[in-house]
Amino acid sequence: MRKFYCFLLLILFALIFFSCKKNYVANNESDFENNARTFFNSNVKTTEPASEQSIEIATNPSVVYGRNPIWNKAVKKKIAGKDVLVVPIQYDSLFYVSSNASGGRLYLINEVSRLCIYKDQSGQYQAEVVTMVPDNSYFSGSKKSFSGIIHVDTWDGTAIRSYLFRDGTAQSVTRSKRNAASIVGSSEDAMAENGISILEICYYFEGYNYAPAYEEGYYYEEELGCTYEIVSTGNESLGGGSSGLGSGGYSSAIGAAGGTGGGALVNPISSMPVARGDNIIASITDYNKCFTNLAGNTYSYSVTICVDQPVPGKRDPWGFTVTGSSSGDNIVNVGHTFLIFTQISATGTVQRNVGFYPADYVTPISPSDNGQLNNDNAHSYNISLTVQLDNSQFFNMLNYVNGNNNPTYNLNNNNCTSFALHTLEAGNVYIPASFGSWAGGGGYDPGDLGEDIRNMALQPGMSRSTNDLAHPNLGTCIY
Amino acid sequence: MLVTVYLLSNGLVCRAQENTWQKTTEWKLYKIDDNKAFRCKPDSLKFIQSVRLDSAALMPFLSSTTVWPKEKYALWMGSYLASFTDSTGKLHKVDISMYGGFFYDERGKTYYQVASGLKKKWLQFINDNFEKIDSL
Repeated sequence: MRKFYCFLLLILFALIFFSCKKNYVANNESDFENNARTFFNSNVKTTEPASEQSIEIATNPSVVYGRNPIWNKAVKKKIAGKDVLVVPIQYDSLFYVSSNASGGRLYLINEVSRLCIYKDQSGQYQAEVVTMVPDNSYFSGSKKSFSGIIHVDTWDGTAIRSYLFRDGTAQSVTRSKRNAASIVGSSEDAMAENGISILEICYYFEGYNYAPAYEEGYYYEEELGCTYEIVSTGNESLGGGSSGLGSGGYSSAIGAAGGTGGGALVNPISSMPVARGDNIIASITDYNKCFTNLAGNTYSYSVTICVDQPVPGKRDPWGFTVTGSSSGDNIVNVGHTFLIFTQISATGTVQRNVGFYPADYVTPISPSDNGQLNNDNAHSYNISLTVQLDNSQFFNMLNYVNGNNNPTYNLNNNNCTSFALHTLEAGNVYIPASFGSWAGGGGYDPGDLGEDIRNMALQPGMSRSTNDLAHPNLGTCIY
Repeated sequence: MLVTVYLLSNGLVCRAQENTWQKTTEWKLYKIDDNKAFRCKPDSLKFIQSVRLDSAALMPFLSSTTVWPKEKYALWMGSYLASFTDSTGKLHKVDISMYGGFFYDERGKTYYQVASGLKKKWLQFINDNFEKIDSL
């Protein structure tokens, strides 16, 4: 009995010990994060972002707009032998960053920047913003090691240090807007003779002005400014150096938060950010200009016809919906059909949504109106058919859409479903499509087309889905 | 005199409508499939992911609206779901058409039409805010 009680005591003691140890470790980790956050809020965040007037002289245009750390997504990481809290950053206004070595790629600032907080060798907390801009070599290579440029700045945008990663080595970079800018105008021969390389990092902002004071809203692209880096001839080891986290340490920072960590794990945007087209498409040819017509395997092309049936799963041409109010009012929903054009390549994806609508409104009694093309990136659907195409088919369809200038919308013979089917036919793609009928008229309709797609036999290169997946416009181009 | 009275009263109606919109608050846009949006009851809105619409940006559109006659209606080809609170604290569910620049206040059983010149920007404004919901 005594031995039994001793055994029980031993078990109890072990449970208490390991529980306390776990709590101690957990508390210790939360202490680190709390202390880092307290340091940031007390000593760093008090610095106000630069005003717009100072953008001309700002060495880092990214501080013009407000930004805040996303603490609940912070990750503690061991980098260069130090405990580092790696924190994603939320920007009040998103903008893009690119370099003259990025191969024309743009990166959203919140995806390539992280706040890193750690204790330096003297035990003092440091808060640094690490921004990584991959170059073209990163994408053409195996992506196992980072290639590009890394900026390390204070929270208020003061440059601390920069590194150029190339061919597995890191070179320190001197960031000097004024000095480098004066050298930029020098001849290439003079620069090469003096062993000078210049890197240009530029920041872009895209926005839309709704102000009623302007007759037409407009998109604008604003270059926030460029920094110029002079690449020195000195090399630095990829391991942890005496300065900060070292070039190798910083290269692993971006991959830490939200990723598996270790090495340069920056996740580039798979397609260039969209310069969003108008919701009402003002110029369809401009809207579709980023597609590239090339035979062969470099690009894969597809079109998806998406159907939003008024009554999902039924051929009903109308959905008489009783609204959620107690009034019992009816809304007459006829659904919608629209298209998604997609082009995929190793350099990214270009995707555009397009649907045909009346400009104002139609009814069975008044079925005609001026037509217009809209960006349907926000439109839900309940069934879709995707067809793989060659470049010839794809561009025949695009040309049909692009040439559809100011057509008349007609509820019976030229509606959204007619438009989608005729577009497919322009690329020699024919799918079963039934006519529906309704009081005062009849024609192609989303209700019938949805069921035709659901029941059709799929040809090679076709796939069908009943999942309403997000389908944003993707890809931009500078033409 | 009759013409003058008509013009005066029309101006008063427009002014009254503008003042009514300015008394509305808590405009929100919701992330929901349009078929479900029509069937959604107002007291369920609080469970749906949403984004608040900026009042300063919204008011010029609302102030430009005209009211459709009760007998007028349109066919819906996709909609956004929104809501606002009126001056008495009542919640209004609003269906916003994806085309045409019209929207429907279910509590008031009234269609409104954004001014033709602002229709394009209105649809852009709504679409841009809808895209924000995904990023929250």
